[in-house]
This record gives sequence, structure tokens and C-alpha cells, in this order.
Amino acid sequence: MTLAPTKRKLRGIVGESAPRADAPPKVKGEFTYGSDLSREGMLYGATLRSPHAHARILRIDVARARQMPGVRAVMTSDDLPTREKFGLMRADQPVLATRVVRYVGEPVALVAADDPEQARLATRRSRSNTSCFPRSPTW
Amino acid sequence: MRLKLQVNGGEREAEAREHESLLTVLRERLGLWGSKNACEQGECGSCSVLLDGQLVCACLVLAGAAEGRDVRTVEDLAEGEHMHPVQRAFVEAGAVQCGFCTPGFIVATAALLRDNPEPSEAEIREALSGNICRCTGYGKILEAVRRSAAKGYGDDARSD
Repeated sequence: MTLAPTKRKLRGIVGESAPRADAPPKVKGEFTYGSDLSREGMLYGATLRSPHAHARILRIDVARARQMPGVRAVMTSDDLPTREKFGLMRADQPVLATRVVRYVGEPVALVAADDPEQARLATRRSRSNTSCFPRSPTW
Repeated sequence: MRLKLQVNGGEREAEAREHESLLTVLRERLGLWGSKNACEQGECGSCSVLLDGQLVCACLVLAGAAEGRDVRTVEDLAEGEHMHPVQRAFVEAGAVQCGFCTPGFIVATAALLRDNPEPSEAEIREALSGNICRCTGYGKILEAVRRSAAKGYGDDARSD
């Protein structure tokens, strides 16, 4: 099979070095990322994450965190309006760990506070009692 | 506390708490969002700025310690639409992907070429060893640095 040569030269597609449209704002520091968004009076979030690979959650104590200065909201899976799960291949991931944690770093509780330090401090003052299962690596 | 800072050649005032970093003040008080906040521990170089001409991580400098000193951020390099030669080289070499590390690399490269207009490969790598690109686009970044050095950064900068 032979291809007939195109009469009109395509520009900026194949065989040409097209400059990235987003490069100039990025090299100038003008490109806005999620962490660069700011609103007057906005709150900052922090996440309490599982230190365990696989464990049963016996209790999450966020009472102290809720009373800390600057803290506006603390949320665990009990506070979620839904038990809906999400996931790319299969929807098996809870929004916040519910009853068990299944990996190190799984979100367990969320804090919203007036500034980032207060939010992070509140996650550190939160306590969760867990009972670890034997690890069950999958390959 | 109320701070008086020299930022990008202008006198700026900002409110800051004692423990807050120069990076927090630049971004959240002065609205200079070009310096990025990533690791917050001086590992990634995304917040690179010049303090009295010296390359530093703004996340490791207490805001109070920058009072009265000359602070230059990535926003200081371009003049409107007219990019700094290092910025142009990064665009032309395709050294920008997600771009989050880019402002830090740009500031570090500008500092390198200011002091050493013809760096060796080893000197380039050494100078940029404090900057991390999670897209791992180091090949193109190094090419951009070589390109701006080869173009005669100093002459180019003067002619701008």
C-alpha cells in the first residue's frame, strides 16, 4: 500500500517540535497548582493515616482533637454520610478506613483547622486503638 | 510579629509568627506562589530562592531571619512576557513536565550560571543535586542547563 502525499502541510503535529503551551507559565512560577489556591478565611486540612499494614480499628478517639484551638471539624468514617466505596478497577476502597485498615497510610480521620499547624497537631492528638492482624502481602 | 522584607527589589511588610518559614510568608502573606511547598525539610529544592544572593531553601529559613536581607524569588527573573534566558532554555529543551519542581530548578540554574558561566557536567550535577524532579525529567533539565550555558548566559542576560 502506498500513501498519497498530503497536499497541505500539517503544522505543529507530526515531525515538528511544538513548544508546550504550559511551559512559559511554569518556568515563570505563574502556573497555579492546587496547593497555590487561596481564599480569605479558608480552612486547612490534615489527614490521620494508618501506621499499620493490616489491623482492626477498635476505637478512634478524636475528642481532644475536636477541642483544640483553631480546629473546626474532625471527621472519621462514622461521620461520613455514605458507606459508598471507590476505586479504579473495583470500587472496594472506603473514603475513610472503616473497622479495619488495609495499608500503611490509609486515611483514618480528617481534620479541618484555621491553619496547617493546628490541623496537623490535631491529627497527632487523635488516638486510635487498633489490633494488628498478621500481614498478608499480595504479589 | 511584623516583618520588613526586601523581596524582588521592593520593600514588603508581612505579618508572621515566630515559627513560620520564609516560604510561608512569601506564598501565603505576599502572594508569591511561584516558590513551591513540597517536602518542607530542605530535600526537594522546590522552594529555592536567593537570600543575599545565596541559593537557599525558603522552607528552612525562618521568616524572621530574612528581615532586612535581599530575597529574590522565581518571580524576579522574567520581565513581563520577556523570559530570563534560563527560562527560555527550559521551555526550548522541553525540560518542563508537571512543572512543580521547575521554579526551583530555574532559580538554582540561574544561581549556578551567574557564578560559573561555563560549568562542567559534574559541576551542573553538583549544583542541581539539591533539586528533585518527581517526573524524573533530568535528561532534558540537564540539556536546558547546557543549552543556556552554551548560549553565553552572561551575554544573553546583558542583552536582555
